Amino acid sequence: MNAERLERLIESYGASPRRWPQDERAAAERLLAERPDLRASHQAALDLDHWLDAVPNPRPSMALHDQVLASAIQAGRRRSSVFGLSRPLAWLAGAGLAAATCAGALSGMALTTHMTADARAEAVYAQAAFGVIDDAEVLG
Amino acid sequence: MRSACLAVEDPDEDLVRRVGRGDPAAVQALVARKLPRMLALAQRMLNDPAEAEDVAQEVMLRAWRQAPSWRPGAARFDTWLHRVGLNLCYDRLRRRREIPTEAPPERPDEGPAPDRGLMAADTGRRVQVALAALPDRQREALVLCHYQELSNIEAARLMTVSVEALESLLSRGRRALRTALADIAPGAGGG
Repeated sequence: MNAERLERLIESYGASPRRWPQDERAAAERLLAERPDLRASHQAALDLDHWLDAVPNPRPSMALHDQVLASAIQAGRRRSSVFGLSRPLAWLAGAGLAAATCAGALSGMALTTHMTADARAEAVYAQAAFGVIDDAEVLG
Repeated sequence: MRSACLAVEDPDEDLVRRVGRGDPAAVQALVARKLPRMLALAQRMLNDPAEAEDVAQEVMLRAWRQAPSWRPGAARFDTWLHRVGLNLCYDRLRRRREIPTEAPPERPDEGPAPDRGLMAADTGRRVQVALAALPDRQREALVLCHYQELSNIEAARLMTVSVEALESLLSRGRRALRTALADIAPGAGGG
């Protein structure tokens, strides 16, 4: 760790060490404590972090929450109709979740049912299967 | 060069397995854990609450479909959700460019307001507007690293760039934000 790298970390990830790369964090914190000349750029990054944190964190509405639960039931019904009675547990079509889901939400809301999404989700799964990627390849 | 499939430790693995088996409590737990996260991702990428809700809902629908056949070890479920969410966001951003709307989503009032006595809420709105004005990739990098608190490796992989490229996007994005928000007094963010 040197001053140049620490400045790069601060410029990129901000002032909070918890956002710095894990393998560099301890050394960077030590260096920051030893280098008062870097405190100005750290303070500038801290100000920007505070501004970023001032953006309100959106909270799901109850309606959205219920719609999402309802979509789980819908997906479960689809699966259970595919697997039929041979499937011991009708996936999520059971009464437990239905009871937990607001009845009003179920009655009035249009569900998002893009059935063509399955194939794409599979493709995305393959795309996200990062375990096969070599670290060196990713790091360049 | 390692080419073997490395096992990835996934804090959501057990929950996803239970969702896949149809455990209603697990479904509720996954909604509580991931819906706010996906909504935040979409809102910060799109700066449009209605579109963000649509995206978050779609991501969760795909989660229900994926859970029964989820193969642990290759990727974290959270990473997969982010990939799905980002793809949906980019679809919408592309559509916006192809079909310009009469009223673009919230981008008003970007000018300085030195006499306004900005409180945290005002600062938040200003920052949100400035964030929305960033190039998509810079905004994506900031959203993933700052708000979603993904590690640099995870964020770089999601964006299919090197860590160096990620850091370049982050630092350019932060610099642009600082310039756009230069009139805000330090401490106005409430920190």
